[in-house]
Amino acid sequence: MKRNIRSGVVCLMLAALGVSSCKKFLNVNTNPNVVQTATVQTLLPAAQLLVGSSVGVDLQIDGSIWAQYWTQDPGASQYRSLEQYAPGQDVFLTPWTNLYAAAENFFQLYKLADSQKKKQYMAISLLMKAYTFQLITDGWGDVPYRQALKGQYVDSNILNPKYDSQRVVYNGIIADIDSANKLLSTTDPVTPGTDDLIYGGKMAQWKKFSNTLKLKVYLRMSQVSPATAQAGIAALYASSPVFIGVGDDAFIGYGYNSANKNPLYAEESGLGYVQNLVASATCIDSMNSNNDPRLNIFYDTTAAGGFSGIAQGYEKATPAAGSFSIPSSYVGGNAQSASSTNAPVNLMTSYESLFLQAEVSARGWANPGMDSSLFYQAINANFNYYSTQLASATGMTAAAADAAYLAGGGYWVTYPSAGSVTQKLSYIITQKWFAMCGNQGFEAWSEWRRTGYPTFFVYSQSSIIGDNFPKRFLYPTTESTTNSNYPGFAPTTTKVWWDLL
Amino acid sequence: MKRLCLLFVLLLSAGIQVFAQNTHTATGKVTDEKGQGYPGAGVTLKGTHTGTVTDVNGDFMLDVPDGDNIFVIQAVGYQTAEVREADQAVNVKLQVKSKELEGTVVTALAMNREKRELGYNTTTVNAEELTAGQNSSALTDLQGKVAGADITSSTGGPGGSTRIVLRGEKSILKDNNALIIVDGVITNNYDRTLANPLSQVDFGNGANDIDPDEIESITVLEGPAASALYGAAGANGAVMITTKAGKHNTSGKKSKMDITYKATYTQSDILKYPQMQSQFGQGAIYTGPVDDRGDNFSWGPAFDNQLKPWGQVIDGKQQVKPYSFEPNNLQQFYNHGNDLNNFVSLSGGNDLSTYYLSINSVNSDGVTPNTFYNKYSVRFNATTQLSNNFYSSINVNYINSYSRVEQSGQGQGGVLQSLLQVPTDIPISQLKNLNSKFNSMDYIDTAGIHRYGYFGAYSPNPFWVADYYDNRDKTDRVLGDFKIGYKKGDFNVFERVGVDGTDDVSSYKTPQINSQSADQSIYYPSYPVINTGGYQQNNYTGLRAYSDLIGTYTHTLSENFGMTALVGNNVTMIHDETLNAYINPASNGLVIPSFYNFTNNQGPVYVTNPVLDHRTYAMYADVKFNYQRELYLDLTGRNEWSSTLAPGNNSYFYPGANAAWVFTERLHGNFKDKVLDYGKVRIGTAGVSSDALPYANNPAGYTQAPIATGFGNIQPPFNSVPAYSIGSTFGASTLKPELTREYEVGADLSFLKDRIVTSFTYYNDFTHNLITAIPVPPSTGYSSEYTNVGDISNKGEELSIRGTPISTKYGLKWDIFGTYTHNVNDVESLNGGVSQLAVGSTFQGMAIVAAVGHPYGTFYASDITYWNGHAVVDPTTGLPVPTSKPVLRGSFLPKFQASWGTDLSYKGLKLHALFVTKQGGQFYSENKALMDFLGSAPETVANNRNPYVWQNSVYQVGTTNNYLPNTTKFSPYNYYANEIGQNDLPAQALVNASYIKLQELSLGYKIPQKYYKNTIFGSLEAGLFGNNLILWTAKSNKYDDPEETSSGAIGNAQGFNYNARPSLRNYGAYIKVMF
Repeated sequence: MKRNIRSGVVCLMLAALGVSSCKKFLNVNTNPNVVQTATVQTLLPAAQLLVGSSVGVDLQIDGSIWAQYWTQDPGASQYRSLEQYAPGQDVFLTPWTNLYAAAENFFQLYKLADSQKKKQYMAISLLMKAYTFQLITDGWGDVPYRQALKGQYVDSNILNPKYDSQRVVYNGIIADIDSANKLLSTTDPVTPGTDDLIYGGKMAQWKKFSNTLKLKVYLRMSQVSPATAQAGIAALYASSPVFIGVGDDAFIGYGYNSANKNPLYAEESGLGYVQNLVASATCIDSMNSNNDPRLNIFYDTTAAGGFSGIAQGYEKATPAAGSFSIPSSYVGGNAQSASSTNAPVNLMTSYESLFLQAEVSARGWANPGMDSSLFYQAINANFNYYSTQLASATGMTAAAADAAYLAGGGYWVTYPSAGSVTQKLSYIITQKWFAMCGNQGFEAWSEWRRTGYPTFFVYSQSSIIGDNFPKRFLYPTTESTTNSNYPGFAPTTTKVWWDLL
Repeated sequence: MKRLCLLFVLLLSAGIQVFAQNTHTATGKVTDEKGQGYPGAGVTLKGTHTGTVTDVNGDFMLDVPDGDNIFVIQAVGYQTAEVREADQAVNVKLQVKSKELEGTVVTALAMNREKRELGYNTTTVNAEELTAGQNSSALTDLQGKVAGADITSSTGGPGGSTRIVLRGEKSILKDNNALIIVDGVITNNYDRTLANPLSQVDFGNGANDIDPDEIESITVLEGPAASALYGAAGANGAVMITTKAGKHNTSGKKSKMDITYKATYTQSDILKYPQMQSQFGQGAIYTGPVDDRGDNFSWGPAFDNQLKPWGQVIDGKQQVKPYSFEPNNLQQFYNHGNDLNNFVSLSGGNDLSTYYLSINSVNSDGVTPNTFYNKYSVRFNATTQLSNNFYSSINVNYINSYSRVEQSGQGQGGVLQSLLQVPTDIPISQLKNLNSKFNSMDYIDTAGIHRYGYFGAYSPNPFWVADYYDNRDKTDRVLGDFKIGYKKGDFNVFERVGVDGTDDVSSYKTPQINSQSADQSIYYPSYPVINTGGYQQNNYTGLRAYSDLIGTYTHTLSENFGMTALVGNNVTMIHDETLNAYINPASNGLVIPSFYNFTNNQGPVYVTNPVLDHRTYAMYADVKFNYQRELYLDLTGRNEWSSTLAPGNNSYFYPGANAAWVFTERLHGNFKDKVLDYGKVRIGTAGVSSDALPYANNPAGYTQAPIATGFGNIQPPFNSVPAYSIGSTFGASTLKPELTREYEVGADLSFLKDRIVTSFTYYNDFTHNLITAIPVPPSTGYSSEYTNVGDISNKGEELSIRGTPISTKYGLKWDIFGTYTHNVNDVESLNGGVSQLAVGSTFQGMAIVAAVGHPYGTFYASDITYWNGHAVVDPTTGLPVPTSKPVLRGSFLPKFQASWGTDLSYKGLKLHALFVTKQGGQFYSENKALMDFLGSAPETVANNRNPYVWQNSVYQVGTTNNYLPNTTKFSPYNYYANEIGQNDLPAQALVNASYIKLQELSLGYKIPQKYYKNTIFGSLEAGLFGNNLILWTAKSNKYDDPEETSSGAIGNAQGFNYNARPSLRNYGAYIKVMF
């Protein structure tokens, strides 16, 4: 009654002004500039693009510098602090924010797809969330996981998510892959189409992605938890898995228009097309000594012809323009070449998959005796992946270039079939490093942290932490200043869980 | 609540009575303080236009309705008296009044009230005081005239931004500006600036559209006590502008039209230029090639005054000049600004109606080449009294402005940045002719290649930037109100509808360029000038609509005791729509150069169309009691319902009370006559609740927003696939309103028959439940959440004083006056474990924050590490060690403000001067940081640039707590060009913002009427004036006028000068003629 009188009086006064209902009059606070519920078809590509931008820009730059493919141009300074091994915390703000945003979008996609019984979308969102969390935990170690992504009230309003140990995150990733596998096995008629930027809704390829991701996750635990890794892989192989093969590469293509540039090139154009990233002598010298035809894909030639790098972290003087190589437009690294816009961002490749399988075989955990064959298949897959680019840069077919490379008798080329596991691993991972040059920089850096290969990395000349390598990313200040469960500063020299070297 | 509502209804129905219409004749006598009959006093029946004047004996007669009548007696120099009719006769003894402290004042809801009634502080500035300095902005004209106001006028010239904050900053997120009210209607004081302070284009703000010549008076209601009746909108106090209106003519003769014409010519130039060092010229002798002819550095050799080639070699030719300092170099770039302001008004009235029409034009050229500001406005007011007790009025103002403004801050389009990058010896005057190959940014050589010949390899020719980067704003605005009322006897009810509609189109052109250097020898080839070109257009439509239904009832309970009751209802609707379209040069670009059209794009145009709705309704009541014109009590209450909060939180009631005691009514005799002729003490309290920004309590929602990385972005649809991602900010329906509670006490005193008049107020404000978006850890999946975050307090004193040392009957009069404002702001608490929050945007290593225990607007930046007051340096380089994380370093808020002015008048001649000062604040000067980096700042030449030991420095022994005196010398180059230049020590760019300014100086002459008695002229006046004339800054400030800002008028991150538009010194002459 009390309420009725009040609204009655108010409405009486409002009625005089032609306002029919007070409640209606005030009911204008639903934001018309956003939509409250997206569709699975629109949410999936956005979440994938967030992963693409993280892998393609920050993880690519940080990874490719610390994996010694690239170094900072001494004439500019954008990534100087990475070469000094003394980056500020906020160098890692964008990837942290974008990867968690990606995970949030996959989490929301999962809930939406679940409510609409769209199992394939549920499966893809679980796989991509697992993939994203592996990137996060491989970069930063212990991270918010079980309590993460639950900021909004409808998701329990957790504003200070607790940090989980990396092992817990890995267990969660494996559990998510298993759940996804169950969903993938159904024959749901609703599948994504072009909205799936990675596989166009081809669920058979997602199945391969799922298996390869699991393989990669277990192998990452090979040093810290060999028994778990071996058992997991044995179980995986027992299910007769199909892995990513040639033609199944998980990547996002770019360059459809000027607003859909390759993200690294978009970053470079935002920086005024300044060439900050140049070839590192670590990589150039080792590939030169192998007469590796892939130099023509990964780098541009110098003005004098041939390939030349700058010593990692060199900053004393500015060498003359054109006297050193820069990353090519095929990896999106040439800031002044418009064709950089078309470079894809690789999430998981056929050659990566084959090197992983080779490692399993070399370790004798499954498929014994297949390692040599898988090793050469992997190298071949890498040449194949860049067959078009090889043809245009060198005029050779992928097969011819591969054959010439293998026949050249360079280092790390002749697989030691009779060698020790250690020796075999050094070949597999070093060749994997060559293959991932500037196109999977973060993964190459992670594999180097896990295995120590290649062995010929040098300390950056501008290192200010002495003879030490950076082994992790730093938590950004948004985390340290706003999360009351922040575990404290961990310097770049603190290793992540699976890194025992 | 139920009872309150019933009271409203009762009060409303009480007024609706039928009045008898029988009349009788009342007679009366008006006498002066000596008891003599006073001729010519105006007598009106209260609440009507019925009136007459007293005859030579002070007697009058008037036909009035039967019943209880009150007469209002007005006479020049005396207090207005209200007398109740007794036995159909009236006798009045007039009392001399204090001119300064008595009279009427416009208060909330545009109600006229007697000053003596008010239990809170207000300041009224009349037309003559307001326009004494002839600034083109009415708000800038208030500077130094209102105690309690912090006015920041960023450019000081036509079309710039002016911020006015009363009694301290109160909100972290929302606008802290006072409400700007024109004739009772709230106006849309929106910012016409780009949101990015790092590359700002400042087209000014809505409040500056009102032409000062149209203004009759401005009353500033400093605190919420005064503005509680405006509710949430009035939480920051109010600036009430009353425009000129026609006057009633009750003489019985036919009235004539008053015509006023005023022409003002103003010239402007830059008030303060950054100071340059004069010993070293272009080059970088500490790194790289000594003789880099394309360098922007002034880290070259000492001047030797020998002839030396400079710039590029073009077609085998090169320019030659002496290697010496170019004095007044920056001045060569800027022009003198010219401003012609024409104003015509027509007004008149009879006993029932009035009208007023004015037309104003402002045509000005800015100091930066190609910039201009043109404004045309028309105002029409009319009132009429209808025969059946109804009355109505209309008030319409149309404003059209068109301006072009340069971009400040960073980026290729930043004029000042490109200008500062000209080394100290390069003559800017010779860079002007863009047709010369030596200055050109884009000419085609014989091989068909686009080339630039400008000397600088790292920044474009500032003249080219000013020509080709074209930012314009065009505004059409209609604001006004319509009122219809019914008034009979003690009862008055009216409905007023006010509207402020704005249509604002701003556009930003970025030229396409792809030029190679003309000189392909060593210094230039790596630096082509590339920009794909872009175009941005923002179409803003803003509508503010208000409806007020107000009823008042005055009742005299007994001869000594009276009351006035008011009830009202307000409906507010705000609707904003913006259409932004952007061809972004970084991600998109133009196809054909110089064609700025959204069809001329390489990729998809990025378009957004944000819509914003905000509605409130409110009911309020105000009851005033008075006792013997001595004691006054005023009780207010308001209940407001807002659209931006959820039911349960969206209805809030706040009461207020204030009281005034005119204690001099108790005094008699000599002390009152000779010492204290008028004195009042007052006390008040009020609360104002303030709602959230629209949609702040919404969940995040999804948009097709670009996926951004550090510098680039991917804009969906992606390969024609639409992509919606979840937003990064969310709110909750639990959001509560902000509440400001204020207490104030004060006194108004007049001594020695108005020779000394003073007013003092102490206030204590506490704002609870501040709403803002706080950052949350990204691991939550989001970046910020709207929440009630904490409390801010403001305590302070306001003092104004006016003295008249000389006042003779020959007409010589000397006035001195001043104000003092002291406000202590403190961020009392923040919730949720947060110790500080950023105010506005931040940039790397530098933020402006609200931190617990510190004043609002404290700078948070990396600085030199100190140990026991000694700078800690690196023992190998001798350079100061930056703090490991940012530190708090003082606020932009001044510790106190004051003003001091004087008027000297003799017959028609009047000399006026006004000084203002702000002391104790700081500002961030990017000009300082940039000039340190470039080597053009005066401080870079210390010790002739030879290495020296940092004064009183120590170094840390290893990682111990041991510190030893340092003897290692540092290289000034490494310090300024590297450490400062790489932004490691942004706190070193903080500069003392204290200043004293000669704000106004004018000399006016009203030609005595005897010289043109029989002509058509009614009055003739002419004068010379200057405003923003002379600036004295702290010695350490060699860079900027501290008033300049890159955050516009509305942005809360003030004190941030990122190569902002320079402020202007204005001076000129005017003539004013009345017919």
